[in-house]
Amino acid sequence: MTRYRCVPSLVWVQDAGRVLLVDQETLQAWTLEGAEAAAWDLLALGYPAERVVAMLALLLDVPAGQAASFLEGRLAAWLEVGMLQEGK
Amino acid sequence: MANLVISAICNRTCAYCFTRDHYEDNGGGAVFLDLDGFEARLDFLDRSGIDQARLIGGEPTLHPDFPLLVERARARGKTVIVFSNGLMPEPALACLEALPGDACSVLVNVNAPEDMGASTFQQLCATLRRLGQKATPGLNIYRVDLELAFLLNLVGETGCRPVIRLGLAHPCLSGSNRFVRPHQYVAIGRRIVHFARRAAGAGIRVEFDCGFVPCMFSPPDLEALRALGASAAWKCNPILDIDLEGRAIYCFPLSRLGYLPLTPQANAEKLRRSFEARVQPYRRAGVFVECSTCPLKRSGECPGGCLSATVRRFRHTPFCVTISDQELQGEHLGHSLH
Repeated sequence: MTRYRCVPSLVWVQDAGRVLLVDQETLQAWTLEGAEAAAWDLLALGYPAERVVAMLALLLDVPAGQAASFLEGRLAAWLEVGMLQEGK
Repeated sequence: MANLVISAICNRTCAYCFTRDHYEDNGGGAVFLDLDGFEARLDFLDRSGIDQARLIGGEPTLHPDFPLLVERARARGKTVIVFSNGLMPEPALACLEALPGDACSVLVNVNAPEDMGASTFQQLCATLRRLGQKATPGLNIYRVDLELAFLLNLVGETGCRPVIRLGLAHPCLSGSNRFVRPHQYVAIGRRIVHFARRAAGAGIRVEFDCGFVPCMFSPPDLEALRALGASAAWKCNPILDIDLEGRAIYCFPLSRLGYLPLTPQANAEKLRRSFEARVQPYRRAGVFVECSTCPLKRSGECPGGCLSATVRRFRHTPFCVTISDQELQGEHLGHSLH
């Protein structure tokens, strides 16, 4: 089991078709678009992973397993660049 | 360009005041800049190659040594620019009145007469009369229904410079001041164009302060503004305000974005570059959701409006998500979906 939480110094805004993120401490910036932006929005709304995967599957019109893989890949990538941290 | 804060106090209480965050965070300190501090600020202007001493506050003319500060700035060959609310003590007014026209310019911040009160408004009018062509009235639009026509009479009756500087009341980062919202800009834009037409008919030109955006005007209205000679500019730059503690801030609304020390080596260009780097990540956005994809923003023609309003759009919503190995393999989800 892995628990991810967003970095406390991270702020973001939803723009037209994208999410713009800034780490207020490091001033690193990221732009998420398309399915990535949708996944971030759903997580930020507080949905559990299971619901996020279900909604991504509908949005992307793919099987649940593929949506789960997509989410897993994104979470790992966001963890690696510093948008997320592993939490307790 | 850099503004020097010489007074932390003001004799007006404008609801939209941009300095609110700064003075909330820095209360209890010095109220006025001392003479040594002022000389250090003039040194900073000299090494930055700036020939204007732009004095701000609070209300800068409340400084008890205001005439002396003006004298020191003039001795360094600076043009004195004063950002005032027009309610000046007599020694300060007399000092500015006595300066040659090319040595001084006073931007007098006006509020609607009904919001200022009759006697205060009359005092402001008297200041404009005495300063004549040295004075430019300015107004921050702090509500959508603000009637601007009184400004035309004000210019006509006081003989001040026939230019009106319009600003938008922008939010401090805390949002604790009164400000206009971006969704109100289009309605404000229509009023401004109507006003600019009337002003042009009276031989008065309209200038724009920072934070305006072209999309608050329709294309025909933009053409009309240009034809009327209105200096419609879309800008949001680190103006640099130097506070009483000797620190530079991007501008008052963004004071909570951080301070830079005014070291003996610091010059305006270096400070500006540091601030630009600091705000760059936020610059990808603008005051509207469409800004980040707007061609005018991408080309750099429009910065996306006031950066403080933009930064306020960024939020942090803490979230946490737990993934089990089973979930990640899609096994459990496969069952729940079908």
